[in-house]
Amino acid sequence: MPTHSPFQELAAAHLESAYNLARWLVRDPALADDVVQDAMLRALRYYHGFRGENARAWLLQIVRNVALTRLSRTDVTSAQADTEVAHDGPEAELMREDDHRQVHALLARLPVELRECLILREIEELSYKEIARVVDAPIGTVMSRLWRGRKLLVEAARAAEAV
Amino acid sequence: MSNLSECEQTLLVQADFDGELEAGRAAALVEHVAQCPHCQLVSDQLARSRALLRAAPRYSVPRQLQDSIERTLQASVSSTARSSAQPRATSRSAMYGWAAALAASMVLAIMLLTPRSPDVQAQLVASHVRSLQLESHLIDVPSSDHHTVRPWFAGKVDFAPLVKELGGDGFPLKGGRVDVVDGRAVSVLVYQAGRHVVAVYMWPEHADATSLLRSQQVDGFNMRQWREGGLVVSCISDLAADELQRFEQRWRAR
Repeated sequence: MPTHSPFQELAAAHLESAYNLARWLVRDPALADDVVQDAMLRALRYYHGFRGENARAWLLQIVRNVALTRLSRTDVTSAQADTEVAHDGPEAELMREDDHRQVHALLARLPVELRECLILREIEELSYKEIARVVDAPIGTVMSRLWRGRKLLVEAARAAEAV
Repeated sequence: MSNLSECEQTLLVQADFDGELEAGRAAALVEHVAQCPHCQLVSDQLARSRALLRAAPRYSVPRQLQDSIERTLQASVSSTARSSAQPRATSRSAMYGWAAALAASMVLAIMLLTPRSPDVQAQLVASHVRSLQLESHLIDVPSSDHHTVRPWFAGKVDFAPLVKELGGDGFPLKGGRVDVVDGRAVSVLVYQAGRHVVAVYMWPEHADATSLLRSQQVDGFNMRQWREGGLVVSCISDLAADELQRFEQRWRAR
């Protein structure tokens, strides 16, 4: 194993989470690549100020800020947005693809401040406190955003089924 | 969709669903939900939203991106003085630098020593949360007397756990149980701390033990860990960090 700096170890340990969040926030594979690259370089620059607690939340906070900045500059229309899905087995693939597309479409319609809370909670499985840190909002705000997001998601899914 | 007005307990029901509610409040909430149609609907919606979201993919990092980030970081690190890439102690406190180094070494330790098994800290938290959710599993031998609790462990675990009475320090012993963490039987003592619970996990120190983390926070729980009498002692609680530190001090003073 080549010698790695502590920062490189940190980056390697949390790269998956960083990429997943970026991908779900910007919903475009190429843009997500850029966001993660940029975020990692920023994180390296800020590393001297990192106090050593909860590296993942710290890194995700940077990813999130870079992603939102990019989003405000780039207009990702739904036509360009993510339609590529994860493939992990021929049998389940068709059904899973359908599920994935549906979730994608439903999440895409949620405001980004609700979407990010849902991703961090349900896919990254962060605690309320960690989410609050990543999105830079009080825990109470995180809780109400989570609830609004979940309710809208369920309502939208039901409306889609009814069509 | 229901036209019932929002119940003020909605966010609590959600917090319980997300495992963020302490056991005492969760129990009271169950009673409320049983008689509140709105909260029953909320529970249902929470479950549905989770089912939908868990069907969503967790994207894996493209190989190309991974390589390119590794190259970029390697280049940046080599081009700067090696020390500048290390966490530096801030002027406020050298502790921060120490903690950063510890966190970094934790990542390293986990990567090197337990490449595939889920890390022990996470397992401890999961075990603790499970024990709080299933009230009955919190304690197998309810007793505040160490003369009762200590012999109870004989034959259940292959070591003699330390059992201390801390009632005089405001942490009455409630009892003990045996749990399995990282594939081995561990003893767990349960102490009360006001309205909170402190669980003290113990197991024999092995030669291949991963480096100990003095204190850390996992999923909102505070943890403190040390070696004592050939055992690894690991406390976990939803107590504030400084209160848990006080618990450790009282424990070690006995």
